[in-house]
Amino acid sequence: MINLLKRKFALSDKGAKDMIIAIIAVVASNLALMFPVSLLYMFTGDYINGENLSAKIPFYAVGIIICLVLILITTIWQYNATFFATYIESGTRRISLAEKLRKLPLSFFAKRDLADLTSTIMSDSEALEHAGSHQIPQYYGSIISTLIICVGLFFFHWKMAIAAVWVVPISLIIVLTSKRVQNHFTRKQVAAKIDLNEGVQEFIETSRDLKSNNAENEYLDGLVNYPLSKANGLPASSSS
Amino acid sequence: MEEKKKPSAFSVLMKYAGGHKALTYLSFVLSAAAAVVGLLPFVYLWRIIKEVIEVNPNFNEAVNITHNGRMAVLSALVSMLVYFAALMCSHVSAFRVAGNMKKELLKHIAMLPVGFADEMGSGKVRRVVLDATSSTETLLAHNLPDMVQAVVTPICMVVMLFVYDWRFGFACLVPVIIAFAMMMRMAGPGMQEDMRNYQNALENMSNEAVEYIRGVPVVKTFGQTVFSFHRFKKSIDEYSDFCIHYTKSCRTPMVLFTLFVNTAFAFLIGLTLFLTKSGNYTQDILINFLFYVIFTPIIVTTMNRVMFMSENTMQINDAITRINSILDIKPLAESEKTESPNGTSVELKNVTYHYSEDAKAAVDNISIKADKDQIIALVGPSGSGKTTVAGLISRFFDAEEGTVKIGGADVRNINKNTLMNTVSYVFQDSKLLKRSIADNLRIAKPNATDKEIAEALKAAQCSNIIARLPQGINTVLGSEGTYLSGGEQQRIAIARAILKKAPVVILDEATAFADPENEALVQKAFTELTKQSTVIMIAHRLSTIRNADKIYVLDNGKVVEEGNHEKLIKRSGLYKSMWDEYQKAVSWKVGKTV
Repeated sequence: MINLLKRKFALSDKGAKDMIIAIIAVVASNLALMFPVSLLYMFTGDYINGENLSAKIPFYAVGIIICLVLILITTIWQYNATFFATYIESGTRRISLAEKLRKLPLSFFAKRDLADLTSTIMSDSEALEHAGSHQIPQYYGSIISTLIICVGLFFFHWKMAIAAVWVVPISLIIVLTSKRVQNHFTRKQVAAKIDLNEGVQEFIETSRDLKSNNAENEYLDGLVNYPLSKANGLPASSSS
Repeated sequence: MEEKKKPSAFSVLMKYAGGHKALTYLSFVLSAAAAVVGLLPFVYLWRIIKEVIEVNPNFNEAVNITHNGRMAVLSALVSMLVYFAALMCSHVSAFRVAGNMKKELLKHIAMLPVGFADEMGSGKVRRVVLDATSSTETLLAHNLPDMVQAVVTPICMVVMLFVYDWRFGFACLVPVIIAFAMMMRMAGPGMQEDMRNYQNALENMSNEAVEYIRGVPVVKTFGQTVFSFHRFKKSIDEYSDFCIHYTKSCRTPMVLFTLFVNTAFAFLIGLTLFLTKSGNYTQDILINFLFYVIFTPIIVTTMNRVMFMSENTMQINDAITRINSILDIKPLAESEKTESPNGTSVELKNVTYHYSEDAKAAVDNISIKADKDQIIALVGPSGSGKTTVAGLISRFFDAEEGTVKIGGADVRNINKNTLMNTVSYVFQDSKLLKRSIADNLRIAKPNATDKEIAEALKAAQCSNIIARLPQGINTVLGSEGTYLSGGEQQRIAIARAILKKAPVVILDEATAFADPENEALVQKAFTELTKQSTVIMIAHRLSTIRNADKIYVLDNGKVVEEGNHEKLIKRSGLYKSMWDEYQKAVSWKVGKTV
């Protein structure tokens, strides 16, 4: 599990462990948000059954306080586990990248636009930083907590639980079966984007030669008509 | 603060929307409608609960349940479809906007002075053209329609607050208001200060990274310890420290935001307990209580959406700044009167040019003249201004002082196409397109026949290159591993210039060749090209310029000597010492190979 995370998100040992803790923290804070729901459930039950609510004020007061404290603690925990851990990890990642670069053979540097290389590394690190703090723990955390909550629902009233939960497998099936269609369009879009990327790079690099031959506008027309409209004309199935 | 000075990101983006502007607004309307309809399922759900409680315990009197259930499903479906339609509209418009921005940028880049991309870095330019523009897509496609919902939903809730029970509505809204206040605290003036510091730390780290990576090859070559590594590490640490400090300062408001957004339950239970204190257990209180219990989750969802939107707005503003950093660069001024060159002489008179304001002059009050069909050579140490002179003649940039004339006409007044048809420039490192050799030549002359192309290639000594390629002149460069060496690329570029047959030719001799054979072929190709043209040649091998009609020796942007080879040798100046050096180098090279 740790190794999987390490490979998938370019993490250090510590980073992978922190990521697991972050996921657990997200699960905890999601579950903490379910306590008020239980309290509301009990309260409504008591009201409908005509219990003496005044007598139960201390019970609900304590219940509310416990819920609030739980939310508070788990939110702080989640915040620390996701944001702090990520920024410490991203510092480590940048430094280890720098170490790695120092050890690469000279020929590597001869072949590349160094400024370009640098900014790619920096912006990729930033993207990973953002994913690590805002997306990955939340994604896995909410899958796990949703499963736990679903299982929990069956203990109350299994028929009702089925009525509430049936949408989950159905939507999963839809997502999985539409994957092929989505992939098809995504691949097409990615291909068009790569074409466009190469075209724009070539245009920038050769603009001196194109201009001194009065060919820049002809080149641009070709670029705008073909890959650009293709890359922009498709609905982005992946951006939603 | 900044919003007042600059137009909002939205209005900037809408300038690129063209006819698709209406679609964006339509997406807002649809999105708002979806939000309103989206509340209906909850209302129907509540009606079902209400009916059950009212008829309790005679449940068979609850006759409207099926109708309400159907309506709940129906309104949920309608809301979904309308939202889907809204997103369709917003996506189409968003992609158009991003596409138009790309077009606009590329068109602008085509008009900018040559060398602008080198200055900025071609990778950076490419990322602005492609990535910065694409990063605006999310704002138009998702964020703004959601924002509309985030405004409409609370308004509907406030309306319902009055329609049903204001006391419960108030109990729901109090935590929202507190949570909102927390969010504002994070976006206060302190936040702007922090944001600036964040940008500085990030920029500092990027600069140190460039320094560091640039330094690595040098350090490796000379086996030095890495001093720049420590500086880079320090900047990384500073950035991390700042992020952690910033994260700490946001923790309290952020945690309180999450807490209060989720506390509606406490207020609802509290209020119900208060209302029933006197033993007044009415059905109305219960039903109203349940109504608000059903509605609180919508509040939480809406608030969370707004919460993470500010981050995106920041990215958009950054993207727009980067796009404008290119659009704000002025293209060369177009002159109102047009002149046509009369003849093919080239003359620079008292020309001065700086690459940037604080740099020293690249050429300083320089005067150079080439008569029709003369061969003029520019020599001098690197950085002496040779390439700048050549760039000024082809108007890659404009002289600040003095005039550049071709055939008696100021280059600033010559139409760009005419100028480029008059001047051929063979660059030291000409870049070829990833197209066939024939297509690469046709850039110079779109209607050239295969025969003309073959002749030009032959004249440029490219026959052996073509013979080697699998599909001859139709071989696509870069495909199936067909790459050409620097010298070979320059020969193709010379063939292109031969095909173009421009009366003025600028030659920038490549500084180094892989092998002597290549060098000899390029020399031969040069000779073919320079027949019957006025030639300005930037020479690195002095042997090639002995036959020049006139040699200008440049140093520090000034002409220090001029005349033909014999005359300059006699003067015993800079040229003589360069010539001696060159002779020594040649004999050393010869001695070594023998």
